[in-house]
Order: sequence, then structure tokens, then C-alpha cells
Amino acid sequence: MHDFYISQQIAREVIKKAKMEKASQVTEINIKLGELTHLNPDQLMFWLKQLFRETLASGAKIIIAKVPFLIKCKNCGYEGKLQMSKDYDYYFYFLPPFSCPRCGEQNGVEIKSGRECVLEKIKIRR
Amino acid sequence: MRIVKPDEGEVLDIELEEDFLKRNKELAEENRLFLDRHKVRAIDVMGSIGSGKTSLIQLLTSVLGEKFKIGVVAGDLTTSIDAGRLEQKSTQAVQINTGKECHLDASLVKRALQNLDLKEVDIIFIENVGNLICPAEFPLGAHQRLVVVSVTEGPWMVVKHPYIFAQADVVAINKIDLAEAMEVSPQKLIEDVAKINPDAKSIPVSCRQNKGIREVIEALGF
Ligand SMILES: Nc1nc2c(ncn2[C@@H]2O[C@H](COP(=O)(O)OP(=O)(O)OP(=O)(O)O)[C@@H](O)[C@H]2O)c(=O)[nH]1
Ligand SMILES: [Mg+2]
Ligand SMILES: [Zn+2]
Repeated sequence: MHDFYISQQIAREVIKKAKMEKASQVTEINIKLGELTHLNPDQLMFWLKQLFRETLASGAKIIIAKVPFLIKCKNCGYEGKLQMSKDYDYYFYFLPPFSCPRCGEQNGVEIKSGRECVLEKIKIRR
Repeated sequence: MRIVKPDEGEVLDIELEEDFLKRNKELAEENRLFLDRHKVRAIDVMGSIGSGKTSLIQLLTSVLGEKFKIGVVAGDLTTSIDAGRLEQKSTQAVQINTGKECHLDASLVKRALQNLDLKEVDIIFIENVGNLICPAEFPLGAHQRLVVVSVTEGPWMVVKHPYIFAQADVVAINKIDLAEAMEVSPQKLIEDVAKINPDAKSIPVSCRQNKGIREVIEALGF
């Protein structure tokens, strides 16, 4: 939804860091995108390509890696995927409270990953 | 920042590890501390376009204004119509124009807070941009979230946008004066909210007929 907004922030950061490193060119950009965010990787890719036109990063390869939605249970130590209950509609899947698929506990179940949108690293040429 | 390995062809890896959504969350936490330090309570008012956010804030302000000093922050793409509507003799109002953005974020609110005289404010209503999707992903640092949805948007608004209702403390089901004409049941919307978020308090409201305003104030805990 707000893909343009986030793309703008990412693009600004990439160009800023590349200039600080005295790059002549950015060759690769690595992004990690959580499954739970309302960001669409195709949209992000599209906007980044538009935003990088006629910049140091215009030819950069953009790699967006999907980060799975994983939970962590404080009660039994379970770390992994959530089991989707069949009675739930698709969209409830993303909503807390989550219960642990191993011990069934609801309290103390945290989101371990899936909420992030990380500019992980860039590759530059001087 | 750390430069990892210069490999052949003079290509350098630059590790950044910058989380753009987390940065907003951290700023929101700063806003919360800032508000707490000034003993100000902030309420993030979210809801679809035209659902009655400004109308409801106007009515809440005129009741609460008898006991408290009120500030309003109005988010809008380009105009200051809502801030103008919300500015009253006793109320400080600040407009944030987001330009192209579909939501307010914590950094915009941080700047807006600097434009209010917080010594003269007890409660701040922050009117988010009309949208049921994006604001859910951008906490602002407010203490409570009030979502306004109206019967004129049809019977599926709640089930279609569970994410925002999952985060609501209070939900105002507005424009119930039009429920019959719209053939939309406010009760059904209330049940939909309860399924997604059993802790949220849903209140049927008509800003037009000044109904349900006291109940919303009570649900907010005033
Ligand atoms: N019939 C009826 N109309 C209402 C009610 N509440 C608001 N309206 C009308 O709905 C229209 C939009 O109301 P606003 O308060 O501007 O809605 P908003 O959510 O602030 O709108 P945006 O900020 O533009 O997204 C106005 O014409 C209001 O008079 C209500 O309870 N009943
Ligand atoms: Mg408004
Ligand atoms: Zn467990």
C-alpha cells in the first residue's frame, strides 16, 4: 500500500550511503521483506527502479528476499511457523493473539520475524 | 556501518541492516515518552475517507473541552480544511500535509507536536489520513486508537480490514441515522469487530444527530 513511501526512503538511503562511500556505481541492493508487512515486493521493485533512474543506482540489481512469518513461544520454547486453524479465514491468519502450535498457550507467543523491511546491504563500485 | 570485503573488480559490500518499519516504531516510542513527560494523552483517530473522523473529533472536543484543554493534529494530503474545522477558541490545531502519503507517520507527528504548546494541552486528537489499511502499520505513539467506520461504506468494511480493527481500543460505528436507508446493520458491524478484537469497545454513533458521543467518551475512559 505505502510501497512508494518506503521505496522513497530506501532509495534515499541507498544513494546517501553510496555517495558517502564515494561510489561511482551501485551494482546490487539487498532487501529483506517480511511476510506480515503490507508491502508488495513487485511494487517495491517497480518504484525502486523508477526512483533510481538517472542515479548512481540506475543499473543496480535489486534482490528482495522474503522473510517468513515465524513465532516464538516463551512457554515451551517453540520457534517456527504458526499452524493455521481451518476455522479461520485467511485474513485472520495475520492477527494476534496467536496460540502456540506445540503447547496451545496464547500468552507469551511473540512474532519472531515477518514484520521487517530491511535494507540489508548494497554493493558498490568506486 | 561496516565495510565487509572488497572483492575483485573493486566491488565493495556495504552492510546496512536498516529496518524502515522499525524506525517508525522507535520514533513512535519516542513520541509516547515525550507526551508522557508533558502529561498529555494522545488519541489516534483512524478510519475510512469521509467516515466522520473530523465530525466526531469536533463533537468530542466540544464536550471534553469543558474539562480539558484540547489539541488537534489533522493529517490530510494537501488541504487544511479539517484543521480549520477543528480550530475553535479553546483548541489548538495543527495541520500536517502528507503530500502523497496514505498515512501519518511518527516523524510527521513528532514535528506537529513541536508546533503545539503542550503546557496548554491535556488531550490531543490526531486525525489520521482517511484509509483503513496503511495507518495500521505506522504507530504514531498515541495512547489509544479510535477507529471510525460508517454504515454508508457498506456491510463489509470491518471484515475486509481486520488489521486496523485488531488494533483499535474504541470503534465508532458512525452515521447510524442512515443505517435504514443503507440497509446496513450497525449491530452486524459491532459483531464483526468483536470477532476480530474482543477487547475493543464498539459504539453506535450519529454525529449528525449527536448520538453516542458520551458513550464514546466513556469508552475512551474519560
Ligand atoms: N448523515 C450523517 N452524515 C455524517 C455523519 N457524520 C459525518 N457526516 C457527514 O459526512 C461527511 C464527511 O464527514 P467528515 O467528518 O469530514 O469525515 P472525515 O472522516 O473527517 O473525512 P476525511 O477527513 O475527508 O477522510 C460530512 O458531510 C459530514 O457532515 C453522521 O453521523 N450522519
Ligand atoms: Mg477529516
Ligand atoms: Zn508453546
